[in-house]
Amino acid sequence: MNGAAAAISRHETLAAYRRAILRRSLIVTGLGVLCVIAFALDISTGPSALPLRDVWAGLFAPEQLTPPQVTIIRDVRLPYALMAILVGAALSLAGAEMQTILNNPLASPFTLGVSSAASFGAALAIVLGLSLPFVGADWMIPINAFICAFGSVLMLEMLARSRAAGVEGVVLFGIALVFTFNALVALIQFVASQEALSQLVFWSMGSLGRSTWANLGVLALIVAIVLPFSMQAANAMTAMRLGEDRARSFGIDVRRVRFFSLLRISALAATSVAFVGTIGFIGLVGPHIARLMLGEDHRFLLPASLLTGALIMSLASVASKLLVPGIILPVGIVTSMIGVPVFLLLILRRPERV
Amino acid sequence: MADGMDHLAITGLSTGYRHRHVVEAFDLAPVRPGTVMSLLGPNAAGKTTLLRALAGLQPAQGSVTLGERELLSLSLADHARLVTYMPQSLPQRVALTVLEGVIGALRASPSGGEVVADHEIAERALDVIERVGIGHLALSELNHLSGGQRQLASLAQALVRQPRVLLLDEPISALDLHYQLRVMKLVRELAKEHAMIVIMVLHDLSIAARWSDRVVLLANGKLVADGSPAQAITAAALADVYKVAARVEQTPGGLQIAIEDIL
Repeated sequence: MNGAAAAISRHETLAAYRRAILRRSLIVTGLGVLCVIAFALDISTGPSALPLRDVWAGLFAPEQLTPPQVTIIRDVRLPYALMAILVGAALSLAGAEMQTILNNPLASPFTLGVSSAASFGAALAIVLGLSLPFVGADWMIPINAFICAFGSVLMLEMLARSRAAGVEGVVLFGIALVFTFNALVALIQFVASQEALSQLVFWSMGSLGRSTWANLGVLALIVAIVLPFSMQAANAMTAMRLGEDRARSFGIDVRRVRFFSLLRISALAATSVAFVGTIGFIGLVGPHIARLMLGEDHRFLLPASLLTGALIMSLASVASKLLVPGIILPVGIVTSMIGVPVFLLLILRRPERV
Repeated sequence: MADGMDHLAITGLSTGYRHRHVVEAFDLAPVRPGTVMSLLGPNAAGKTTLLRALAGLQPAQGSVTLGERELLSLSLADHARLVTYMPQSLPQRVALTVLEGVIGALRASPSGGEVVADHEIAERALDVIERVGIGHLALSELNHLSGGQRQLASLAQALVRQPRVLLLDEPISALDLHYQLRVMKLVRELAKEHAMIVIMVLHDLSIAARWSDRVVLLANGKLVADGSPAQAITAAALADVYKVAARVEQTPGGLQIAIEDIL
């Protein structure tokens, strides 16, 4: 490419840059369209055979269907499919920010133990039946998950900042967090009552099966609040990819950007985990696919990561219904089956240095 | 412009780590706008520490003034409008092109506070990239560049912000002879053109002597010599700072420096 580039004139360079920007906008739009298609596919698949036409009728003209059919579409399939989109979006956006903030390509809520910390927090809230005045028990689960997730993210950040640890140190510490919190969750399961246990098992699986409209509203609200702040930090994050000292000398308060990003990451990861359990690898794979498609200009990388995550999750949700006919697999199992090979590929590619 | 007449002065500057000052009570006579100044000295003399303190990247006591302004008490954003720091290296594995990197440097914080249109930013960035001589690489990814090309891309990121004070940490360490001279000439031209103060850490005595207006020798965080290259780089000073026996001759072609042995 360099040889050909040598002949490129100034005018052509600028035109090529403009084309690249346009191409990225188109990719982001295209991802949005694909998400809508995947979503339509998701609501038209399921154990009860309902053709797409009936699903449409269920949404817009319910009088044409029987009441049970309407219930299936409105209260089972629709929340399920919407949750897939929202969880994928939340985890992937969190992963993209984490990879930049910690300067680590292997970072994601799942790989570095943030999801585990959140499920520990959620498990604790369930088993102890924690509650605060004026805060319902339903809210304690996500709030407690958030507190634990934020604690683990702060520890990761402190480690990432101390130069001694390096990229490998952070990954190893993250793995230690995964094991620690998984052990703690197992301990809680061991002492938990029969009733709490069934709720806990659901967390370790990662399933969309308990999506409710209330949960959906909360997660949608979190994503809607977080995304504008993420986009506001996009230019700062792009500059941080050029090195921390350099970014600070460009006038970016790196510590502040990091802190608020970690808050966003915790909110996204904790809410997702609190509602659907631990879903692996979306937060890792989504941003990487987006980065491969359109580079690291965060004005495009962040929305593209969000949409890629939503798309993968939505497709995984479709797959979870089709893989074993008549049975809906927990979607976390499907994402891990997709994610593990990609994760290995990333690790094997790592020593590559130019 | 009155701004162009602002001198940079350092008095009683102390900086370093929490329990150990690397640079202590450092004074520097005012540096005139348009000056290219080299910081020389052995490893661990405190050159980079001093540069980072001037860049506002690490806590420091004392006073650093640019004209009337006390740089040490400016906010990060205000400081960044006047001073730009170029670290020794760019991080590995960054999926940005050379052009995007320079645009990123401009977008990070609008240096004059003005809003600039997208295409204007791209043009300004490309101007600087062409000026450092890598216009043909503008669309190449930073990952795919050689060490020297990366250093030039990194320099372009600093230059594009048009600072009043430009701090360069070993800007030519990865470059071949041709590009070493090219960068030194360019930095000198820009310093004169924009009345910009350039302070850089260098290792090569001959290059420092040939291309600097002023040379400062540092050892153990203390100023050992300061002046024109001929005034600062003397056999006695080199013996003191580097523990080497050197012969330094003033010739019509410039300063001739020959290192003969270690002491």
